[in-house]
Amino acid sequence: MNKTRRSIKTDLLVCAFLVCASAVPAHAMAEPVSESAALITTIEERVGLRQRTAGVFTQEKYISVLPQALQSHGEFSYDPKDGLVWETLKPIPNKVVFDEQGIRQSMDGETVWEIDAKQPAVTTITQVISSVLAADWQGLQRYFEIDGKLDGERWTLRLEPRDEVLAQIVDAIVLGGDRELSRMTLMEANGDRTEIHFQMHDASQP
Amino acid sequence: MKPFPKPFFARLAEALSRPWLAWAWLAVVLACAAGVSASVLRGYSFDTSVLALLPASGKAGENAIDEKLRHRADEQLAALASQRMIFLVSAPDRQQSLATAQSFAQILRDSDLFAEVTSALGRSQVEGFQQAFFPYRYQLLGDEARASLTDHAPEASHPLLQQALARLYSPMASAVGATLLEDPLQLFFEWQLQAAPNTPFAPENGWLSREHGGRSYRLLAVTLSGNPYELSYQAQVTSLLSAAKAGLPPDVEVLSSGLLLHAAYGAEQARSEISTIGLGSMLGISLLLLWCFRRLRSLLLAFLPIACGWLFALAICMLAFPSLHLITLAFGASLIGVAVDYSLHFLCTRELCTRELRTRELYTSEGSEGGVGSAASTSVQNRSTLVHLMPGMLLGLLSSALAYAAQGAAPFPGLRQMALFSVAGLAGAWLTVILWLPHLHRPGQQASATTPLQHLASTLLKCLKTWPNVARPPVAITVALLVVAALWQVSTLQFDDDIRRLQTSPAALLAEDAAVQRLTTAVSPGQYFLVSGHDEEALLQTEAKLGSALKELVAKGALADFQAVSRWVPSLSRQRADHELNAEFVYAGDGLASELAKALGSPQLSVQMRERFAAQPFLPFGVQDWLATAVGRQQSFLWLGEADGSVHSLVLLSGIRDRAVLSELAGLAEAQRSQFANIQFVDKVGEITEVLTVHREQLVMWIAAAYLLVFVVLALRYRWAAWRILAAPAIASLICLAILSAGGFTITIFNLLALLLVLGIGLDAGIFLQESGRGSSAASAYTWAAVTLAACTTLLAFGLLALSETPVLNQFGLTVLFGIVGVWILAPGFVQEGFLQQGFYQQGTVERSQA
Repeated sequence: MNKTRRSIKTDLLVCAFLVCASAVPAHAMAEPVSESAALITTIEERVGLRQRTAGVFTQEKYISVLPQALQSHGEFSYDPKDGLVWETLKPIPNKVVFDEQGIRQSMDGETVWEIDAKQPAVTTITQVISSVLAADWQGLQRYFEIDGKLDGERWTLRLEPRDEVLAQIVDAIVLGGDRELSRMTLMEANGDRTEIHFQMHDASQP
Repeated sequence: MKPFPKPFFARLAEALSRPWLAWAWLAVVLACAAGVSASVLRGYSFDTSVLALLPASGKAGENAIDEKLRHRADEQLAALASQRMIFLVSAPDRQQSLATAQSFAQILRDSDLFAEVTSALGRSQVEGFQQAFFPYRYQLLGDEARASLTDHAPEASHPLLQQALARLYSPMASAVGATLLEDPLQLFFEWQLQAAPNTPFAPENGWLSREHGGRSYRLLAVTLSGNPYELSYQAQVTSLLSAAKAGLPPDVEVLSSGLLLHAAYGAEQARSEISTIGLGSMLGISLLLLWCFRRLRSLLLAFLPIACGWLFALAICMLAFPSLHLITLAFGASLIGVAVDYSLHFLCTRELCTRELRTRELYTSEGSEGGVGSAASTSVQNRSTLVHLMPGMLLGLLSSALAYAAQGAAPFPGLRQMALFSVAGLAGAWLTVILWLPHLHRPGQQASATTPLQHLASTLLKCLKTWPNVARPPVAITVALLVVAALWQVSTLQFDDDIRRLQTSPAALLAEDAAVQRLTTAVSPGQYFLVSGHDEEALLQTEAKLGSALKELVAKGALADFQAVSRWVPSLSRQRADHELNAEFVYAGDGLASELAKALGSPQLSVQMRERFAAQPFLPFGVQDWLATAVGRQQSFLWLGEADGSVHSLVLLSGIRDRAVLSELAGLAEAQRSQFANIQFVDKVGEITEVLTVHREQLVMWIAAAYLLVFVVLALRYRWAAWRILAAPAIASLICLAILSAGGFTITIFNLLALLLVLGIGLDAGIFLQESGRGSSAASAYTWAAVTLAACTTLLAFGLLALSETPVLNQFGLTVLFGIVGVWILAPGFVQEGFLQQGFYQQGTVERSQA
C-alpha cells in the first residue's frame, strides 16, 4: 500500500540485519550461478553444513566522527529455534535476540527495546536465517551480487547489494575465512564500517 | 352490490377504444424506444454495486453536520477502496515470484488501463522521507522515551543512555551509528519505528515481498484510471487480468483484491441471469400460451404489452434516475409474470365473447349481455370484451400499482427504482392491452373442435364447482386452523438483516479477497473512528489519547494496527514539551548527550551534539506540513480537513479480531470525548445492518398499509366483500412465511418485498374471480383459466428466480413461488359462493351446449 512508510523501518533495520545475517556460517554465502560458482562450491566444501553454530566475537565499529573504534566482544549462537543470540559481554553487557518474534534488546534480563517481526526488515532477517537453515543457497543472493577470490587456504567473498534501497546504506560486505568464517567487514555508504572477528566453537560441540 | 353504474365502465371502454388514442400510444412507445436507444448509445451506465441499493447514510437522529461529515468520510474511503486494486504474485520460490511479478506488472503497465502501477520503491522516496522529518527530530519523542526522560535523572546510569550505548556496541550500530551527532540517544530513530505502521512486507529486489507458508509473495498495487462500476472498463480490466493469469506458469498464482472484481462479477451474474432466467421464463410462457391458444398471433398479442411496458418503464426510469441498477432490470424482467395477466384476461375474455356469440347465433337467441348486437363485427366484439374487462382491469391495475408503489416508500434508492419500474411497466402493459389489443385482435378461424383453452376452462370449471369454499364450515375451520398454525410458526421467524446477505460475490472471490487482506493486513473501510476538534491542536490531542488506548488493544492482540495522523503529527503542545525535554535532559551542558560522549571516550563530541541541537530551533510541525511529505500524500485520506468550524480526521483500523472488539472500540470513543473534541466510532457494516433492520420493520408496516389502502379501493366497489379478495394473498403470505420459517430460512427485507408482489398478483386473481362471479359460469371458467395461466406464467417468471445464485433474487423468487401457489389454491375458496352457483344455473344451457 504505502511504500514509503514501509521503507523507513527497512531502511533503518536492514543494516542491523546485514551484520547479523553475516554472522551465520559462510556456507550461506554460496552462489550457485555465475563464474564464481566454483569458488563458492569450494568454500561450501570447506565450511561444512551445520545446523547450529556458536562462538565468540570481537567487534570494532568505526564511526567517522569518533577518533577511535568502539570495541566490544562477547558470544553469539545461532540455531533455528532460538534464532540468533548476540550477547555483548564488554563494555556494556546486553543481549540482542533476532528471531521469529522480531528483535529484542535486553539488559539485566529485562527487555528494554523491541521491534516486532511485523516490521518489514525484521521479517527479512527471519527469512534469511530460515533460508540458511534450509540450505537455501540462494539466500543472500537475493540481496547481493557475490564475487570472491581464493588464496591458498584463505578465501574472501565480496557482497554488493542489488537493491538500491540497500545500496543507500551498504556499500559492500566482505567475508573472509579458511575452514570457518573468521571475519566480516561491513562497509557502510556513509564511510563508517564495522569489523567483526569470529572464533567458532568446535562444530562437534553440542 | 354495484356502486358504480355499469355505464361508467362502458363509457370508459368506449372512450379508450378511440383509434387516435392507439396512435398516440404508438407515438409514446416509439419515443421511449428512441430515448432508450439514444441513452444507451450515449453510454448510460448501469449500476452493479450492492451498496447502491442501500440508503447513502443513515443513523436516525444524527444531525446534519455529522451526516455531511460521515458522507465525506465514506466517500473518501470509498474512493480509496474503489480506485485501487492489489495483486499478490505468489510462487514457490523467489526467483519465480520475481520474474512473474515483473512480467505481470509489465502487462498491467502496457495496458494503459491504470493510472499508476506501483511495485517497487525507489531511492528518492526513501531519501525524501528522511529529509522530510529530519528537521523536526528534536521535538518528536516516542512514548517510552518521553516517560523515561521525565522519570530518571540525566546521569550516566540513565536507562536511555545505557541502551543507546549498548546498541552502538552491538550489531545494530550500523543502523544508529551514522547519526551519532544528530541523534545520539537514537530517540528520533525510535520515534520513526513507532510511527510507521506494521506490515509484514519488506522490500527485496525493489519489490515489497513476503515469505509465508513456504511461498514467496510480491505485492503490486494499481490505481484505476476508470470507473470501477462502468461495464466497459470492467470488461477491459477483467479480460486483461484473465489473459495475464492464463499465461502464468504452473504453481504460480496471482491473488487479486479490488472492488472492481466484485462489481464485475455482480454485473456479469446479473446479466447472465437476466438472459437465462428471462429467456427461460419467456420460453416457458411462449410454449404455454401456444398450447392454449394455438395461434402465433395470440402469443404475439400476449407479449406485445410486456414489451411495451418494459420499454416504457425503462425510459421513465432512465429519465428519473442518473443510473439504473442491474438488479432493477433483473427484477423488471420478472414483471413479465404480472404484465402478462392483462393480455391473458383480454385474450380469454375475447375468446369467451366469441364463443358466446357463436352459441347465440346457433340458438338464434336474443343477445342482451354486454349490449352486443347480433351483427357483430370484430371491433364491436373487441369493445364488448373491454367493457367486460374494464372493472377488473382497472381495479387490478390500481391495486397492483398501489402494492408495488408501496415499496417505493422505503428510503432505499434501489427499491424506489424497482417501484417506479414496476408501476411504469404495469401501466405501460395495461395501456397497450386497452388501447391496442382491441384493434389488433382478429378472431381466429376456429374450427368447431375445442381448443385446449376450452378444455382447460371446462376442466377448471368442474374443479371450481367443487372447490372447497369457506362458506362451508369444515373448510372455514381448516383454513382457520391453517392460519393459526402458520401464525404460530411465523412467531418463531428468524430475521436476518446482515448486509453480507446482500453479498453477491462467489465464495472463491471472497476467499481470495480475505487472503489478500490477511497477507497484507490492510485497513478495513468498514469500521473507523471519526475524530473532530475545535482546532487542529484539540483534534491531535484527542487523537493521541485515542491512539494510546488503541496501542493497548494492539498489544492485547485485539487489533492488528491502526493508522492516524497523530502518529506522525503530535500536537504542538506535545512537540514543545518534547523539545523542552530534549533541551533540559539531553542537550543541556550536563545532559545525557555529554554523558554519552564521555562514555564513548570522546567528551568533545558533546559540543558538536549541542551545536546541532542549537542549529535546529523549534519548528512547529503541522498537519499541512505532514500532508506535504510523501507519507502525508499517501495517507492523505486520514485527513478530512475543516468543515463547519471544526477540523476532522479519520483513524483507520486493521485486523479487528472479532465483533466483541467492536463494542470495546465504541466504548473508547465514548470515553475519549471532551468539550473540545468529539470521537465517533463508525461501524459501517453494523450500521447498514441496523438500517436494514429499521427498514424491514417499516416494510412490515408498509405491507399492512398496502393491504389497508387496497381494501379501501376495493371497498368502493365490493363494500365489505372486499375482504374476500384480500384474504387469499394475506393467508398465502402468512403460509409462505411459515414454510420459509419451517424450512430454516431466515427472513430478509427481500422476502417482505416479495410478499408485496404476492399481494399484487393475488389481487388480480381475486378481483377477476369476483368480477366473473357476477357474470356467467362460462365467464367464471374463462376467468379462472386466465388466472391459472397467469399463475403459471408468474411461476415461470418468478419461480425461475428461485434458481438465481444472487441471494437477493433467490429469496425473492422463493417467496413468490410459495405465495403464488398459495394464492391460486386459496383464491377460489373465498369467492362468494352464491355468485358462482347462481351464474352456473343461469347459464346452464350454454354450458351444456359447449360440452
